[in-house]
Amino acid sequence: MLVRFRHVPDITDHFDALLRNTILPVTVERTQRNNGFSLRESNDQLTVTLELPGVAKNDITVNVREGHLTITAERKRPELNEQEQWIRNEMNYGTYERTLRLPYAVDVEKVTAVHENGLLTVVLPKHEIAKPKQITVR
Amino acid sequence: MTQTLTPQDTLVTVTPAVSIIESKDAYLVSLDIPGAAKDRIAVNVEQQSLHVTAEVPAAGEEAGKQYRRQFTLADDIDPHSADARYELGVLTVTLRKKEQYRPKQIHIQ
Repeated sequence: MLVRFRHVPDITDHFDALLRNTILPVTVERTQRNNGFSLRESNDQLTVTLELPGVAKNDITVNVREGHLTITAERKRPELNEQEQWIRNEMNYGTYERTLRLPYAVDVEKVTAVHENGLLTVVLPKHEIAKPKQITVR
Repeated sequence: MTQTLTPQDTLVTVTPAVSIIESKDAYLVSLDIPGAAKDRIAVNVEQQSLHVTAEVPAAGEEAGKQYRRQFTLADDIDPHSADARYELGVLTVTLRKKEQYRPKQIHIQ
């Protein structure tokens, strides 16, 4: 059981309330948003998920090296033609990089990465030596 | 007041980041909604408003997310013209302008 709090409103919510009519030309930039990141551990693997909306598969690299997982991604900014203009833009474009120190040895050969609906899922199976073992007491 | 809940019961409300591009005959409204299944996204366009909601289910310790954002439509938008597509975790709604608001080139006779 976990105690969780519901969404805590912050100042940007108040601005949002003021700027409901965002289709009208309003040029207020929202503060930076973090890409959602989560880690899930089970007995035999570690699952890392990272939100990468708007990033093409070819613009993502996943590296496992020397006990670290590094994810890099590039979100390209749409190029507008002369007849188009930005009305509002809160998205973060450019390069994203995140490195995570792995808490135990992983089986590098068996690491898989899937990018689906803007969500990257990396599954890192534990190396045999890192798996929990039950020892029979004699 | 707080409640004790398991992660599966909890939905965090998220305001998705938006970008809006105006072209000469339409507005393109894009929202970041990573990880949603297409059938869990609802786009409602009424006379004066665009309302987007989406649900991403809980995964492990991570709470589920409810994306929600509403816009008031400017007078030049034809609400019947809207269409939407979902690609790479980005929902893009196209709202076309009413005929009388689109630029026209007048030929000189």
